[in-house]
Amino acid sequence: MAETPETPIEAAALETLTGGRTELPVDATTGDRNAQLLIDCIKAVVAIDPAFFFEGEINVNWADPKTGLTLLHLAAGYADRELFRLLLAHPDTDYTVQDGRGRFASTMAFVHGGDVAMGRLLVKKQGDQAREAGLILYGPGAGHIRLDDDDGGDIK
Amino acid sequence: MAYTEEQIGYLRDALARYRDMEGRNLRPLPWKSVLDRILMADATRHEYPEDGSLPEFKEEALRRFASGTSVLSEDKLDDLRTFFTAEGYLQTRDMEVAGWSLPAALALSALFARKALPEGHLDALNGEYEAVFQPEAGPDWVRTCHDLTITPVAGTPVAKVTRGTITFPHEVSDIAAAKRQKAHKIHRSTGYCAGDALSGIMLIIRDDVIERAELINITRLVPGTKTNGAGEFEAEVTVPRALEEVSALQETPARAAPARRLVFTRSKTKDAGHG
Repeated sequence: MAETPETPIEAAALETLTGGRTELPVDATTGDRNAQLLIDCIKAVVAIDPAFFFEGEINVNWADPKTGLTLLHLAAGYADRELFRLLLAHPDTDYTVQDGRGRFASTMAFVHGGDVAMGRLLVKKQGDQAREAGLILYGPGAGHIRLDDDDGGDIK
Repeated sequence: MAYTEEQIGYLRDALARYRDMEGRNLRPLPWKSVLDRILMADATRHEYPEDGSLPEFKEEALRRFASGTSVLSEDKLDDLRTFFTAEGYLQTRDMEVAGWSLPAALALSALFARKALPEGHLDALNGEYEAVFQPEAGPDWVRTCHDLTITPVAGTPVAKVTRGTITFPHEVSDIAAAKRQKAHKIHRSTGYCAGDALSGIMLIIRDDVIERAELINITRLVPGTKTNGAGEFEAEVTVPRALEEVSALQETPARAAPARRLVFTRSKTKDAGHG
């Protein structure tokens, strides 16, 4: 990063995102493991040095070891479109990840974010990425590999 | 059954994923096919009218529900719940009432409050407040600004709370300019406000995404006036707890230990007529 973080909290968030630690940073003002700090940190990083975010210094698929929530889950759950756009633009974003309760990012957008448009786009992204990888994400065959059919495409 | 907003969100998500998954050639399953499958599934067992008329559950209603522009009637939501659970797109626990919501707030109110919210104090709390304190982890003092909007829930002893928070280094003097500059850092959250038998008012601010809640026990409230707009309150703020811990307080009448005591002073009233 071209500039040092503003506060010890932001430094802790940055350390989390770059692999120096695994859990959500603790906000000393509340004592909370704070997801918003991570979101703020990413936005600050991109504003200062986009390459730091887009060229692999940050683990864009970081997940909280306690909850399994990824950055994409957080963006969807908080209906944070600014972070969502950044993750959409990142080539390594994994849309198929489920959190510890089996929820997809689309679920977070529909249930907690209340952002239907974001939820529908996430469903499309999840489906496309799963089809590309040959995975069945939902329904009775969830977790299994797709078998190709004759009409050239996506298979049940 | 009556459905909460969260449960409706789960149903919309399941519907969207089902259409995408069951589609062909990169196109989602047509609405007519989705509806046919829902109505004719073993789990729902509907019948099409013998006179050839369209079923009462129409494609357009389903499409509008999916786009978020309308909500289906309860019997149709029941059909979606039954169908998507049978198809493996919903888990039973998704449809269980979330660990914490208005009913839980009412239960907490019954425990803590045992009396209605003090009359007029809700209006007094509406507005923007600031508190200055030294965090435990660092030597630098910070200024935290809270924008509270409190709306009574008709027919209940509780009120809904919307809070925006933003924190600056203490030395920042032009708060209004700093807020404009860092508008993206204003964190918005919601919760409930209940009367507290011991002190007056308890704010319960929840974060559904990471499933934690913060309790703010207002121990002293000095309403402002129309002329000077002043006013302040003292609050004990707890470390955010898991939602299930907060729910458990209904059964274990123990007060949450405060993490710190703060004095919030009013920075601006939302409505000059209040207070």
